[in-house]
Amino acid sequence: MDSESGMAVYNTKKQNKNDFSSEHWRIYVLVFFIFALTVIIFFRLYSLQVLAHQKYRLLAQDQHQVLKTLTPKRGEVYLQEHDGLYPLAVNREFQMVYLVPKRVEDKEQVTYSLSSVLEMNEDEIRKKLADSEDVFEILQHKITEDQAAKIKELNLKGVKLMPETFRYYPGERLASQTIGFVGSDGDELKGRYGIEYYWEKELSGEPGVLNQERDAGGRWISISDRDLKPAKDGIDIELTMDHIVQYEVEKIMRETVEKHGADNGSAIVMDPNSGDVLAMANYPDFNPNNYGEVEDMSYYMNPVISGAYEAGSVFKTITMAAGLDTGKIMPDSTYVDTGQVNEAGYTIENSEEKVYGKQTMTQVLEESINTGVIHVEKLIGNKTFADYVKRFGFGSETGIELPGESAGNIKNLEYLKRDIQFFTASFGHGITMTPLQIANAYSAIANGGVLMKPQVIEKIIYPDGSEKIMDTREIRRVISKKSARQTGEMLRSVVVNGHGKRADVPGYLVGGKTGTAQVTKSGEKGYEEDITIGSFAGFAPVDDPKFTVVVKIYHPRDVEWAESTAAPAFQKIMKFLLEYYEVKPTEEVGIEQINHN
Amino acid sequence: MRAYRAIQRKKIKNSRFNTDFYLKSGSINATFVVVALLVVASAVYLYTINTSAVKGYEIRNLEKEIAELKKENKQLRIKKAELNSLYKIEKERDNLEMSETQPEEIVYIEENSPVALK
Repeated sequence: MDSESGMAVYNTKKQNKNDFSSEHWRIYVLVFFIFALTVIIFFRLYSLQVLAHQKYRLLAQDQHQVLKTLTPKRGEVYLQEHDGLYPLAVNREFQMVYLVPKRVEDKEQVTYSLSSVLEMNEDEIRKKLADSEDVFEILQHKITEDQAAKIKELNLKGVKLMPETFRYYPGERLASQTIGFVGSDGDELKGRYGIEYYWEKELSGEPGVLNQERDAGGRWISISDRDLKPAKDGIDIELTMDHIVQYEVEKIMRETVEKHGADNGSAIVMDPNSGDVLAMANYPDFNPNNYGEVEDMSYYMNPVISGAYEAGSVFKTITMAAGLDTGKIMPDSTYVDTGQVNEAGYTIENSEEKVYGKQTMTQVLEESINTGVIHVEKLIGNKTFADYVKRFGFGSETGIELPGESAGNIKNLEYLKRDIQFFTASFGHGITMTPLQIANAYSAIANGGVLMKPQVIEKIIYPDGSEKIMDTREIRRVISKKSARQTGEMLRSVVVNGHGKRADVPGYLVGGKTGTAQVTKSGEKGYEEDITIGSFAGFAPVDDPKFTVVVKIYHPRDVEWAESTAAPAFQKIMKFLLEYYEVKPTEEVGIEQINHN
Repeated sequence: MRAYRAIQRKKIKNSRFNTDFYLKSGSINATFVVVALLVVASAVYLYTINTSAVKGYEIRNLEKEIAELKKENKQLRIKKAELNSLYKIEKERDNLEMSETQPEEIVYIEENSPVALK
């Protein structure tokens, strides 16, 4: 081996040694990276599969499974009509117009066209179209059929229609305080006020659930397992109230309130034999389709059932009926009126400080003499009087199937030794009652002395088609048939000879009683000086009663007495009822008399 | 005797031929029957599937049509109720500038009173 070749071998060995070190370094780096990658992948998998397990499980479920809540159909509500039923509350499909800005080609054309069809501000539409990547912008809910047809005709790219179902009231403001409305209660739409609220659970039904797998395209896989719990639709309700009668009573109340510049007015019509409510009206009212436009929330309330007030002289009939039933008085029993009664430092006088002298009980009602009914109350005795008041249904709810019913207040009759409270109660002061309670008590007199449960529901129709007819329910006998007949005759006398003349309907035996009550001051003792409530309660025909009507007018501005406010409104309602239901007149009436009434 | 033998031979020959033919034709018939049955069954199956698919499609269409008609019927029912709404009629009366007859404007006449016929 020469030196040159020996040197070459040495260099090769050195190079090999260097190469080996370099190789190791690379392997170490590679091993490190593989290890690091493995650790990262491991932690990532741990994070995805363990830590975020729940989140991804739900995401996968969302992608592969359809979990759908099945919405039940809300039950509908109907009024009675001559030839069938009138839908008071229904579910109606409306169109909603929405934009897909991403697909809109000519934004200005879309803005211009839609603003004229929907009567919307152009800037508002431009604002919704601004984001070109946006895929969904609601433009307007509940558009009209004409608007929907025009939008379809325009065939604009990126402008779409979608059906939505809403509660709808075709009769507009008809029976608004009885039906209530469906409105938002937090995140949900629920029945608010009236029938919609009281029967919410039954009307809304029960939602169902559908759980099924779907393919990558979002289509249901029909052969896969399916978990279906069908939705249970709500019940349909038929009311006892009549469409035409309800409208007519509402119209009369509106005209009366407007004519006298009153704050509000209420009326109720009942069938005294069954307790069925035929109409229940209040003015001002509201349109449940636009319930949000109401400025005063009190318009949602139903004062016929919730507005307890001191009714005044219409209550004298109850005192007189109790007197007759106890046998303490007869219609022709007499007493001498001195114009006032003094008790416990208080002096109770007749209205307008009148003094009537010797009067019969019938005359007491005709002239609405306060001291006369105090005389009767004294004869009956406090305890018996209080019992009769309770037996007529005052001081307790009637149980009508509507929300917000007031029981009234007869607490003043709890202290039997406080005569003054009983004296004022005998002519309807110091105790409160609702128009419904008054109507029901008068109905008991009209119904031969038997108190019925007021009914507003005629029938319930279940989703399977079966029906439940709500039977009339007798609560109790309050007075004897004879006492009821005598009270009815006295009420007829009030209309013929007394303050109720303007409530009469020629040809028919109408009986009733006026009541002009003062209003208690809020927060302090005593009564408002210039605020009165005019009421009239009665029934007809007296010999075979078909209808009981109560009218209440709050704070009329132009006249003081109920005979000029509530009595004429009562007459209009009663005349309409007798003609509408074709009740045969009791007496023959001359043409001249008809033409003068 | 020779003639008799010839006849016997022919009979035997014919008999062999018949047996062979029977065996052969028997196996052909069985295959044929199975194939034919399969074809018929397939045809029936296809026809049934096709008919059921067509009927299913028709039923779906009819169901869709029923649903549409029900929807339309409901919308019309609501429309009728809207048009029957006395508040709507009242509004239309005002739009047409018509006024309601007041009770004092109504004149009742006697049923038996003389009336002009011409």
